[in-house]
Amino acid sequence: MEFYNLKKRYLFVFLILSVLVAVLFVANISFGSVSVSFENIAGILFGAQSDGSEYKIIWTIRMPRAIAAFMLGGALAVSGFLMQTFFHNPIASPFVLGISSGAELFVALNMVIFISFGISISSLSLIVFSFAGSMVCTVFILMFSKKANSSVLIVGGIMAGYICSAITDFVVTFASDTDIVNIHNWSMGSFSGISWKDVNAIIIFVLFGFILAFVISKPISAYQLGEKYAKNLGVNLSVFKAALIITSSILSSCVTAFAGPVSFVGVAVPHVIKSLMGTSKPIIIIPACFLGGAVYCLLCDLIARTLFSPIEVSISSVTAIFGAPIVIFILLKRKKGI
Amino acid sequence: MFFKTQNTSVGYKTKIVVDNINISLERGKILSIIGPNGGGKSTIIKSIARHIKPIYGNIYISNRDISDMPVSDISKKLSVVFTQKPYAEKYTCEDIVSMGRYPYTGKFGFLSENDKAKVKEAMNVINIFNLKNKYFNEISDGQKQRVLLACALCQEPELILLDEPSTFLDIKYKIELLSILNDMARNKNISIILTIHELDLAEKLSDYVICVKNGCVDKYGTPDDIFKEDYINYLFDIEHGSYNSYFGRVEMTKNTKKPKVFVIAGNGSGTNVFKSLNKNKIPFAAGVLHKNDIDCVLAKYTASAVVYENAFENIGDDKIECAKNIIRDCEKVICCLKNFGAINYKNKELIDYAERIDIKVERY
Repeated sequence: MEFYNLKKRYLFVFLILSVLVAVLFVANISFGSVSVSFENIAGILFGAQSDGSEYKIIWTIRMPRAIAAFMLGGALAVSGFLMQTFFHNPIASPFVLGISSGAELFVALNMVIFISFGISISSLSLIVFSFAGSMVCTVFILMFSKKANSSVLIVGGIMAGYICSAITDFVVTFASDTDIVNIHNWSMGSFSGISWKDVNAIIIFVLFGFILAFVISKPISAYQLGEKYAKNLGVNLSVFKAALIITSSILSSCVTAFAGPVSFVGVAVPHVIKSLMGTSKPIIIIPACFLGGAVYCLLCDLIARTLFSPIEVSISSVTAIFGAPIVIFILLKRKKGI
Repeated sequence: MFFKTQNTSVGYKTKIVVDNINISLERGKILSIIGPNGGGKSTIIKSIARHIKPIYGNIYISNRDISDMPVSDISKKLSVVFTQKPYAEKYTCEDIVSMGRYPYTGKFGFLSENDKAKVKEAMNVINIFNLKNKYFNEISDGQKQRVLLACALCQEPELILLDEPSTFLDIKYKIELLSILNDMARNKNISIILTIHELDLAEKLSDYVICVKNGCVDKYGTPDDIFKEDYINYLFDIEHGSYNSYFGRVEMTKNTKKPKVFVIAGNGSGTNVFKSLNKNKIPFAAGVLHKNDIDCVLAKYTASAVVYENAFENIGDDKIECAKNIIRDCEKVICCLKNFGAINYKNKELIDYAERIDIKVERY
């Protein structure tokens, strides 16, 4: 394949993604069980209108939710890209490797324990527990990956995910509090019920993770050639690998803490972005993945909310319908198997 | 000495694979590691590349112990091309070559004008400018090899390690590889250490050769010391067939049965006949050849019997008699000579003799 001008291609894709983000963002705060016209949205956003039910719906419900979908979608896609790089496996992602489920389990435990002791659950504690869960699962997967080839790794990850989900179910079933309903909804995966407080925490942690990912993009590029070549080029492997795993876990655990497990974003988005860009240079792919993940989650959340409005579908159901075919496509395209 | 190992033993964890390695190499010289499969050639390369730690002893580059040097320093001195090619999804060949600038670029890996010039230069030296925009995963193994060489060159190392660089390469690329490595060493003053299976390439390419056998360095020397028939046969335990030190090539097992065909040849005219008889497992004898003749050298490795005369001498009657004795028991005579010069004149007598006793004479 010959390229006239790669820089133009990168810019073009970035432009398209940015426009899509903007359009979907507006659509997300405008559509729903109550539709708000675009003029009213402009009025509400720029301060011309400052009360009424539309104002409340947009500022307290839809705005934080759309921001969360934007940030968390981006976080998931970047985290997926990092995982695929780490394991040199195109379908590795926090969800596939069971890391999301590990985080989910810890968050469920956090909720149940805090509720039973009457402690209010803060955004921070959710993130901390979620991160701890991710790390426990990641360490398990890492130990496993030393002894297994990549297809076994994937199957092992999926199994670990099932185990964590099963324990989560036990926890939820035997916890007697009525607040458990919330946990149940959350464990299905959803962007609903996200408050401004949550959004603040999300922005801080996701931005932090994103900047970290960006900072290690140079060693990531060397690592993409394989461990041997990375070492040869002067990458300090143990430091780099730890940084990669921690960054990926910060990003994915933030998602699990607030939206529960969201499937397929981490696999599908990086793949599509790489194909669109025609490269896998991390310095391009990381920001592009972030925008791509944002677009994907904004779109899927819009569908989840409006398809059978006023009933909401879980976000994972929608992401899976678009994402699973892409995974199958990746597997078919790769001659080597997983 | 630029590169040095001192009583170094390499291996995995506590298991020593190659013991007591003593190598020293100047700048701009080429060292080949040869030896039978599984002897530990690659283990030596891996140890120098710091993928495994030496069990005893140290490895020095410019008098510094490589295990004490920071990774970023080493990457400016040493680059490695492995047998295993990276699976680099959606990377163009230019991207891969640019990766060689990794130790020199800034925090985010952007290439400066100087870096870009180096990349361009490396691609020109290795002659892969036409692959610039091709995806690395979509080119052939031979091309990948060259892209990786360009990447290694771009790293501006003082020492390049290559693990079996000639594997997967067809004859054209092998010859090219030879001249590229030679250029790197002579023009860029880069030292090269490589493992290699092709003895002919090793002989032509190397300044020094180390032979690894049975867990130790069996011999270390110049190609002239190493590439001798007896030694190579011993090194590789060749029992059937043999290594032809004149041509640096391996010959098939020589047929030692009683000859059925007598070949009259000289001055290279018999080469193809010898080869085809040997391949078809027909035992043959050759004569009367002069000792300095290329056919005589070749016949020694392929024919069950050779009648030869000393160089520059007229063929003696005793030799002719000897040849006649063999012809008597043969089924046919093949004559590869079109005309017989003064020294070869007596060979004509053999043809007359064969015809007289009703043995078929074939002109080749």
